[in-house]
Amino acid sequence: MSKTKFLSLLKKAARPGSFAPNVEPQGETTAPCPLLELPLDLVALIADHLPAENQLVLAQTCRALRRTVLEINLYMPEHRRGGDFVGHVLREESARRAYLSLLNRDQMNRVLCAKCRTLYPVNYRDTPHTPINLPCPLTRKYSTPCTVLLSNNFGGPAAPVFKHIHVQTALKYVRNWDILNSVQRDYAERVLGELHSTDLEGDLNVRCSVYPKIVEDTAETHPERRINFLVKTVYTYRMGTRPVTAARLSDAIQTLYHFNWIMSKSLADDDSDPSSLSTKDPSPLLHQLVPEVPPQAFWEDDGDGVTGACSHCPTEYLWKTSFGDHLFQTEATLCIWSYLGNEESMEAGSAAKQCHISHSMCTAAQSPRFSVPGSVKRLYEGHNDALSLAKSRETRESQAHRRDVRSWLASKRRQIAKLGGGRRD
Amino acid sequence: MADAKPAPKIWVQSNDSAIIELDRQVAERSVLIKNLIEDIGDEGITAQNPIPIPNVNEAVLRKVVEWCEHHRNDPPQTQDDDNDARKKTTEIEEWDQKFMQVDQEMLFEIILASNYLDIKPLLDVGCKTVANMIKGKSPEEIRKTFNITNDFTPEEEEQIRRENEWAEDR
Repeated sequence: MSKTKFLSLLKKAARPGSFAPNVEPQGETTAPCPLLELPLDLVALIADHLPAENQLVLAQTCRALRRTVLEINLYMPEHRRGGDFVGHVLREESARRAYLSLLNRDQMNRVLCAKCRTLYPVNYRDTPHTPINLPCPLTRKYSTPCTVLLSNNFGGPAAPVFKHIHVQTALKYVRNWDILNSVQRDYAERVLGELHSTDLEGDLNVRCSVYPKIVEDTAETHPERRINFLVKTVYTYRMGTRPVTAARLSDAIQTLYHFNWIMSKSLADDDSDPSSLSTKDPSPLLHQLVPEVPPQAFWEDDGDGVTGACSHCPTEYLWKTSFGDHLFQTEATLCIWSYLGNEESMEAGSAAKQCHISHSMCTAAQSPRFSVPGSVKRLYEGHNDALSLAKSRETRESQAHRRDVRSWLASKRRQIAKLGGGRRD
Repeated sequence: MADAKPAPKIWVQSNDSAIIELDRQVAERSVLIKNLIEDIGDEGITAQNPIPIPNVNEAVLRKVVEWCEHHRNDPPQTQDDDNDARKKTTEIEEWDQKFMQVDQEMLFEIILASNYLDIKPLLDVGCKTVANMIKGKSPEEIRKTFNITNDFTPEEEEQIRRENEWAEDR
């Protein structure tokens, strides 16, 4: 083949694709959409990398993409039966579930049950602090078969109950903050509200504070992993009816289910010598209370306290004791950071893999994301609070929007005045 | 065949008349250029007489060349083994992920250019990147991401609503 002939062929091949559907709305010109300007075969190539449920969602964005996706699948051997792509996808249970959870990302007033995979209305009275047993929409019974507890319920006084639906709804609301109504905003704020309670645990006075927080992980590129629900729980033990000793502390801690599980049962038994505590050296107490090290957990005595992690779920803790001159002033603090999931963990199964689902189920493999010790704590402490970010973004946007509306109204008024004037003439 | 002497060079020209010099081995990542060189021999291609790439501009062409430089020693992809296993995964190598962190316009230009120049692995990376942008998003989020206008008629909306209702009731 001669060079000139080849080059003319080259130029011929270079003609832009014929697939350029007309998506421009009447009147206004919109910013271009490069996805829709791709040739049909390239759109097909992209769709080919997507699971069926994502293709189905893509088919709901606009007419051109709907036509393309449905057309591509018409020629796929596995969907050829009657060309019923939608029906074919939804017949498969896992695809149907994934599809519903994708659609639910846009639905503010409904929540997807993680177990029975039914959509039902959000109950705005059901929060972690005031949990309500909802009727399962499938069985219509007032029970909790469908409630997946992502319990931060380590036990102790009045611990809130974090259900999977609380976490998912709060995440969704924070992501869509600017389109929420006031009831929904209020709900998100209540789910993320702090809770403090005090109780007597054995002979010790326990104060429990719970700080839920949704953090935006700016380092994360994956959109679903970007916002995460974390909870910090702080237990403070002070002298109640009797002074703080290692044994009493270990008794008190054993009421915390999660710690009961991690800690060795054979904690220090001697209750005899409270004076050993009042020495300024914290090490005896610390070392007596160091639990049996579970596999993969980390231990780090950084002078500040002892830190550790559950080897099975993204939960980390810091154990600290401080000693005053007097027995009254001796106090021990247990600070727990736990990760309750992101929007990726819509499925109950994957939620179990990623978060702490009640103490007895804490056997799922830890998410590789949190394999580095201290990463849960860092995520909680070091990143931006997504709720306040959303709020500040919203105030800025709403100001701009109000300005836009005002100028639009002014221009319309001018037009009307002009028209009115014209008619009178 | 390429000898041990200075690596043979190839010149390509973008549609905005920029001439880029690159090693023949790098240029041959593009099946189009490879076939072209085989057909006309590389003596015909000089800095004064470069290969015209008529619908790729300089910025995109440089980006594509950058990719080819990095992947110059990759084993050539065979036509058969690349089909099913590769398709459904959307995992992308770390370097490629960084490479693809560009604005959308550039991303789609790269896809178009790699399709035209017939660089399958790059086309693949590009498509996977777009697929990852679609994955895990709701219809509204996809519209926002790609600036798509919802142009369904009320009847079509109704049909979609029925489909979704049907999905729920099963």
